[in-house]
Amino acid sequence: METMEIMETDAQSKVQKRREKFFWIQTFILGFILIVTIFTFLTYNNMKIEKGIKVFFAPFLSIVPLVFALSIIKDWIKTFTDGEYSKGEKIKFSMIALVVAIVFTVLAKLISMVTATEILIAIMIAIICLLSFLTLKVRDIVGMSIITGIAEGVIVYMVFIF
Amino acid sequence: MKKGNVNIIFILFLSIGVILLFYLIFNLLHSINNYKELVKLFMTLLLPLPVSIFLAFISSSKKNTVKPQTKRDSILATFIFISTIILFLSIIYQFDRFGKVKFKDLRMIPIMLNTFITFAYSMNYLVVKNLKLSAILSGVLLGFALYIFF
Repeated sequence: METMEIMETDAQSKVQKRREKFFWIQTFILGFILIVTIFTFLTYNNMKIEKGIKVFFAPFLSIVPLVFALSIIKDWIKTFTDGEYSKGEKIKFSMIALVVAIVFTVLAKLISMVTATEILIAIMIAIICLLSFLTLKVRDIVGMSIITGIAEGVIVYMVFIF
Repeated sequence: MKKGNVNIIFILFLSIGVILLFYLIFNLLHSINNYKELVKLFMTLLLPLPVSIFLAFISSSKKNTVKPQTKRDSILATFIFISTIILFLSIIYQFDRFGKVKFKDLRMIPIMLNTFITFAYSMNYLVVKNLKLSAILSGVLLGFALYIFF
């Protein structure tokens, strides 16, 4: 009986580790995509810098709330369940990813119309802060589906509409 | 597909996918002349990756192990493989005959299809380990390679 239990927990932790690995890979891919997107938008619209001090202060608009949230919320969701997801859960989380993808396609369309450098930098840093908040605090399937949705939305905009 | 042979078959199909990818990219390279086109090509390569990782994440479980296969299983898998090749090729030739543009001349969609099949095949091999899905994916990949090169 004991050996059976040990084998079972071993398999469970294996699935858990695998899911955690997938989560990290997805995060790095999304960070990479966002950096490429920033450079593309900065070079594409012929940006002009009118007041340099504004560009310097733009990132702090979203970094300060992020640090505040990270210091207040001690430990939130940090579990990758090892069980199998049922059919209803799979459909639900795929729908969440799809909705987030559509929202971010529209949002990327709006971002590409911005011509001021400081507003563009503020918006993109806000998205990166959202990503790091999800990565550090919502390490679950909800965070995974939201990250997938953001990545897909940005890529679909860049491929088909841009 | 026996248990010992799967590894060799996996490497073979992966190399077919990579060779196809390089062929398609070199076909496109002469038409790229600014930064925007380069970003578009790069994003096209990345498009199927988050979806396939998400699918692998959601469908990984401890039940997914290689089961001992009977003779009936392998015959069924071979049948599915061959019928998928024929189905895929016939669909593409019908598209070429009746559509306005040829499938080869659509710039981004062949690359997207190729990367999606390659990623899905490797994810299936590493995580899900489903024999029928593997037969379908390799059939599509081989049919695509046959269409591109001949």
